Amino acid sequence: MATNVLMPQMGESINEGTLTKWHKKVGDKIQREEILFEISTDKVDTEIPSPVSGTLVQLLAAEGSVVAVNSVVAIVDESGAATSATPAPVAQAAPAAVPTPAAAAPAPAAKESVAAAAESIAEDSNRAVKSSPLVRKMAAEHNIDLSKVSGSGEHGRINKQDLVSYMEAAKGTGSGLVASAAQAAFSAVKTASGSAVDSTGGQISGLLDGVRVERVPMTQMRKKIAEHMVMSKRTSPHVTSVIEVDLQKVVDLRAKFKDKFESLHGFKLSFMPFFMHAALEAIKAVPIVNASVDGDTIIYKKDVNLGIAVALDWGLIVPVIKNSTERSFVGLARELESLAGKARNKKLAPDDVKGGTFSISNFGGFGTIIGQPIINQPQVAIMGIGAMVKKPVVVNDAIAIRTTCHVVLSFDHRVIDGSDSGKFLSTVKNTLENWSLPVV
Amino acid sequence: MSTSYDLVVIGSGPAGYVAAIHGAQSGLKTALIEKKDWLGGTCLNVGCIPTKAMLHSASMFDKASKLASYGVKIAGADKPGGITLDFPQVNKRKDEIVKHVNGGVAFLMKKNKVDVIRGMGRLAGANTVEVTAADGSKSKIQAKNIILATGSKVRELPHIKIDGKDILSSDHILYIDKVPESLAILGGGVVGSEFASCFGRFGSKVAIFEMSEQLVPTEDFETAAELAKALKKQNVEIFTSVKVKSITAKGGKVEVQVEGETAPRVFEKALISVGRAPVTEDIGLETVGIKADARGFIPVDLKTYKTSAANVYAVGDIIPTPQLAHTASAEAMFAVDVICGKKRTPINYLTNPGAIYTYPEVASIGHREQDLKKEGREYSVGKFPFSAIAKARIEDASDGFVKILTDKKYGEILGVHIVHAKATELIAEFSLGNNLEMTIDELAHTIHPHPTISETILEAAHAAKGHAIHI
Repeated sequence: MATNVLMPQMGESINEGTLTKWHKKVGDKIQREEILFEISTDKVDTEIPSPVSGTLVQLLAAEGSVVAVNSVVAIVDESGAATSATPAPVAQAAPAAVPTPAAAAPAPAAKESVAAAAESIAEDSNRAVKSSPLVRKMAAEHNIDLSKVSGSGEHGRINKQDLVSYMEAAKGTGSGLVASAAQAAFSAVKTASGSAVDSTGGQISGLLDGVRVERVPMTQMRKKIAEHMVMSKRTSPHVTSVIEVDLQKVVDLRAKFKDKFESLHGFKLSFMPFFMHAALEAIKAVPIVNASVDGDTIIYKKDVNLGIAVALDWGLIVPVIKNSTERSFVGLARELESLAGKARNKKLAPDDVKGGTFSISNFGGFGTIIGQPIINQPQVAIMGIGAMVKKPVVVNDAIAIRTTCHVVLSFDHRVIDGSDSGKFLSTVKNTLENWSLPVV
Repeated sequence: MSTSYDLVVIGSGPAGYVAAIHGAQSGLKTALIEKKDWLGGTCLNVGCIPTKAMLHSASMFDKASKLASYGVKIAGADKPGGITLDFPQVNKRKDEIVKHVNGGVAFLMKKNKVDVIRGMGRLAGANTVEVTAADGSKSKIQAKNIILATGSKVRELPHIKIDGKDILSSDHILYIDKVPESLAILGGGVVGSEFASCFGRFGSKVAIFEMSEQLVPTEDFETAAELAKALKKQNVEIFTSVKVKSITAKGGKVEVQVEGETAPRVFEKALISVGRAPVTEDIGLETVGIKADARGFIPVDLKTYKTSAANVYAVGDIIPTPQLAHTASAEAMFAVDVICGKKRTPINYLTNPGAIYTYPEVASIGHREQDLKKEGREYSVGKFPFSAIAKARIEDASDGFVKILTDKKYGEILGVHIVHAKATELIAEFSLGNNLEMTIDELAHTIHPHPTISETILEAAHAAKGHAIHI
């Protein structure tokens, strides 16, 4: 019996993902739960196990292709009769389910037709998804690409409530009514006249005449990072303030307790939990940094969900520690350890990266002392940590050698002023310099 | 009979028996518990079915006197007393219909292998239902899931005693043996209006006393006015914005004292129809920690119909949603689907049709105009009278109108109000259309058959867009 392997639904709002790697090839035997392929979505990268044991008879998506959720990517024959069972309907459906990159992004050669084609994108793509007449009318009015909206109706049909929620969510992130198709059309037209570069990769070929290049398509994650960064810079007027912190007390404390900590809790004590605790104290003192902007309303969040940026070989991800204020120092450290491990092993679940209310970025790993992080929308502030360096500092009118670092806060000047930022950073500084919390 | 089930349903009305069938069809081992000796609950036994049977007799009686105008002559019919109402036969026919449909439900239980357990069902702690049989013996049943569908009963007022002889509830008036000369009806809602239309046409002199400022207070104001106009032609006097201080039985008559009047008004019988109260007392809610609200309704999550207790669901008249049989059935099937792990889109109550079986009938869906006005929404009104429709003339049913309220921007259909002899059938077009979120454009571009009553809907759709054809 042949079993269809589907592109899994990895979260409420995820419609597609990039199939990044096949672990098996046609003809290979595979066990149930054995890793079959890897996918990358805008939220997470993860490994997908085979739903059944058998022989892999067909692969229907190439590595690197973007695949719609629930479309068939492979067929496993459970009877073990390797190549005989290849049901026709599935093969037929495959091309539709796996659009080639060329079809998704107009090739440079087709420039003249780009504008015209782009014009019809919104309408055509809106016809291809299940939706109600009312929804199509509202989407046309607001230039919304319905393929980006997830439907809660029968068989995923988009109803009015789905669209209203989508529009509200779009408003909440400050991006206005995101009209991907319409925006793509706009940037394509601009590119054709040779003037501008689109946020997530308008074509710049005209600017590179005579330069030897290699073209590498962005990964799904890269695309999302690019989109998100541009959107954030466009949304929030960023201001960054910096403060210098004497870390000697924290450094000494960690040196003293790190072995005991590891033997007690089973993992290494890093510096990050100290900064997380200091940030939580500062959020308590300056709650506006944990807010969001909704039109002309400020939303103060009652929970603090700390997002910690984790650099990966293949990009960047921000796992979220839910209800951070309710955790002990060890609890924070343990959750961080667990999430960072999951991120590196591609085991993050969609929920692990959702709901952040304030973010921390540690850019000091390579020695950078000051950076200006970009706010993780729809948040309004992000704390950055520079490299720890030994420096001569003045202590009680004498010069001493101390370990110091720079802590920065990039904030959204629409709702946060310099005085708030100053108060935040000084609270971080005071908490770290006068550390009083037991660490084991 | 087993003592352990996947699903136990308490109450066999249109919520309960439908839940039981759908559960059994979905592969659940199902039991249905009913305390009375009937199946089908209020709807089938003392509600929808018998009242509509009586109303149909009223319509036939009404039509009989007009037969000559259609060219149908019955010898002697034009003489005084030539056409008379055989009220015992009205009741007999009604009872036969109820009996027939009752047997149908029993058959469906057997066909679907639902165990019907006779007795009073009560929750008795987690996953347990206790059944008290008629002889007082108690037994316990284990249930993985329980659906409460205990329905509603006639609401009573503290200052008016329903004696079942002269002062009646809807349960009693279905079993009176003669048409009263005069009938006072307290409450001009759905039940009151239907019995007024019924007994008014049977020949009673009827008076409705309604506390709110309009008849059928939950309907659109134009619907209320149209219905009031029609009822007045059926021997029904209507008093709105009145308070009744007392109703007392005295020497075979009933005295109705209206506030602000010097003397009581005297009637042969009185009907108290002031709504229906949920049956949520003495069903063991406390054993699983469910708390009914101040009005006795059980709070549920309308996305799942789950109560606050694990594996206990509640549907129908006992939850604070419209008290309608078809609504109850829809909720019941939804709850079963949730139990079976099926993904369902929550019921949109704005697409839930309301139906009143007066002459003419009233059917509605969505918002009323007075509410849209109050909310300050931008809307258009498309209204078309049946008097301009040929088929309505042919069928001698020209009373009423179709009124469609649409959103100005997108043409979303916000509300529909139909008054007509066949309104409750006509509204189904909007049950479907609104559920699929059609707009006024799709409706206006839908070809309707001619000549029909349903053409009026097309005309009203054109009217909503500002250009009705046949007026």
